[in-house]
Amino acid sequence: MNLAITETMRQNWSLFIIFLRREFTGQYLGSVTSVGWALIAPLVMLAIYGYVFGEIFKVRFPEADAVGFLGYLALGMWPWIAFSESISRAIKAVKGNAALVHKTALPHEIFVYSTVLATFLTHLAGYAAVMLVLALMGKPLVWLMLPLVLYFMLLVLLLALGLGLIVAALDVFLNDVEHGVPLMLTMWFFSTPILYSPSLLPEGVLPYLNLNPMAYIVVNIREAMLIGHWTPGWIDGVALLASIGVFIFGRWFFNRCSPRFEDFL
Amino acid sequence: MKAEAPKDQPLIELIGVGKNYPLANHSADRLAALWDLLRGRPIRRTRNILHEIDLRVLPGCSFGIIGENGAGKSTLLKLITGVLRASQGSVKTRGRIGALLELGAGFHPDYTGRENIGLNAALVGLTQAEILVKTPEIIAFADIGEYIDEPIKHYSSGMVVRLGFAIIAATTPDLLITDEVLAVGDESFQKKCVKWLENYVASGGTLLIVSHSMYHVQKLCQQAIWLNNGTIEKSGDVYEVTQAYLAFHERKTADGTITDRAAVDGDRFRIDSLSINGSEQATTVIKMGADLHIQGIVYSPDERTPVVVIGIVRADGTPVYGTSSEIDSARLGNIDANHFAFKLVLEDIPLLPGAYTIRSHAMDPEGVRLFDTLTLDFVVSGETRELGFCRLPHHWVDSPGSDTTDH
Repeated sequence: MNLAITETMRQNWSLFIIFLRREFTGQYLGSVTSVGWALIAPLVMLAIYGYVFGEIFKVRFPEADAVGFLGYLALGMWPWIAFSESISRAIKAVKGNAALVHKTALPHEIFVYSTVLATFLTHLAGYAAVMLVLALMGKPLVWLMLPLVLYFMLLVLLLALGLGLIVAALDVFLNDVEHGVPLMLTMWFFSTPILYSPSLLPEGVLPYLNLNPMAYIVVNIREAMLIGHWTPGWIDGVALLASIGVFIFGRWFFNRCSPRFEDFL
Repeated sequence: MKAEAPKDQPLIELIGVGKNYPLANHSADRLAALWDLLRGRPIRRTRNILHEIDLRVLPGCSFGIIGENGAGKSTLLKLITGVLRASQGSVKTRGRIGALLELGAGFHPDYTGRENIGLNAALVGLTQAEILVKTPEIIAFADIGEYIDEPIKHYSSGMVVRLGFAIIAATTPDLLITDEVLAVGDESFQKKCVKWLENYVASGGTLLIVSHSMYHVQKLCQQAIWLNNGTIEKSGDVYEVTQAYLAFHERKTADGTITDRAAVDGDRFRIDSLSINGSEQATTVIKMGADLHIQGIVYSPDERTPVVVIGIVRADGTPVYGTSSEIDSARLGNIDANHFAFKLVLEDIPLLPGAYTIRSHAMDPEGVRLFDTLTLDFVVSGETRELGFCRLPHHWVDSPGSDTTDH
């Protein structure tokens, strides 16, 4: 019995590796710079936001003084891009593999995991590259805190996997997901303090900010890298449990639906 | 390869398996179905595709699945390969199962041939290391040249089959599920495949074949099931099942223009009873080569002896043979003034297995006017793959032309 289980796990791992590799080679297949696009697109966005808000609107707040508006923006933007891109691509993870769902008996979760992980890792690499640039520019960042940033990125991954599983399953039943989710992600982006600092928010909103897990993550990453202190509190425990909870709920949701995917695709 | 599987344990065991499909064309239905799924309840609006399917496939005992389009054959295959989960009952499978179906089993259209090899090899349970070793072998067998690095969607159907077969050949599953897919490849590749299949079966491999060709099913399988409207109409020995299926089809295509006895009013010549080998039921089964005893009673309104005509037709109405008491100058037996008994014996009937009908007619004593028809169905059984509906006396000359005395 145990043998059969490990055998299945080994087989699923092989499949996962195949799909993950395919995600990397297939994602930007046919484009000249290949994976480069994954790094270029956020850079262009960074330039646009930096110019519009930093130069035209001349947004100023004390937190950004040390690294400049662009550096401040970059620290918050990559975690968000890793999160939102992962979810956007997860929407089609099952539907895009309909041909396989109809003909093969593989665990459908693999489609979501490979899609999300490939996207996430690409942007994590982008994040590392941006950090390197900031370091070369001599920005005063607290490099000792990098492992903590990785920990927060792990929370991002858990959230992206959990939500990715849900949207991928939902998309099998409802086409609306493809239109609704990107819109929701845009709203989520602007309600997360990425382009601005929480200090610019109205007093009444601040206590509720941590209800947005991405706000919690972005704010904490910036504090760690800019100020360099982080004292764990009960909120951090809640955040960790909530992230794991989202992932577990996503799995439950997905696996409830997945035996019937073939019927609805 | 894996350790040899115990011979008495089934490769496939289906018990009371049913499958329903949700009726979900509108968003509201789909949402309702989603809600049912999340609550762990059965979906409310469904249509049953399969009911109460029992199936046991033992190692080395190849199995055929026959039935009309829409009978549920593909759904059954999907349940066996694990693509679908049964709505009722249990599905148990053991060992490596490979599928080679006409529609390109398990290929992703956007993946290249090479990527699909990796995917399929992993699906049948090969490790990464094994896949690396096998890939060149598979590519060589498929023999599709540079296309191996093109997406599958650019392949011709023949190339898809080549690749599919190459993967199966390299991974040697314990059970191979297939259909008439091999007809797609070209001549030389077909030969390669047939040779491989023969080796596979000879070395203890098991086939599960879905086919409309009874010839293939009889040739390759020992057992068969006939699916009709999602249920098993008949299962068991391959010859019994395929013959019953063919008989069903012959009856279905027969136009059924034979006027029944209702047309016979009151006092005319008529056939009162008819039996085959003592049975008046339409369920008589006769072994090919056995004797056929046709007897009955004919009624005469005017005490004169009528002429009895007896014919054999196939279930689709094609006449096979007919004769009459007048042609053969047979004498009927007097039961009473108005009733006459007749009995016709056909020895060693050379009819090939299938469904047939005996037609008996009552004619006036002059043998001119036909008054009545009474029919009775029967089935000829036997294990043969000869073609047509009657065995003609024949023999093959051994090595003709190699002997100078032969002319």
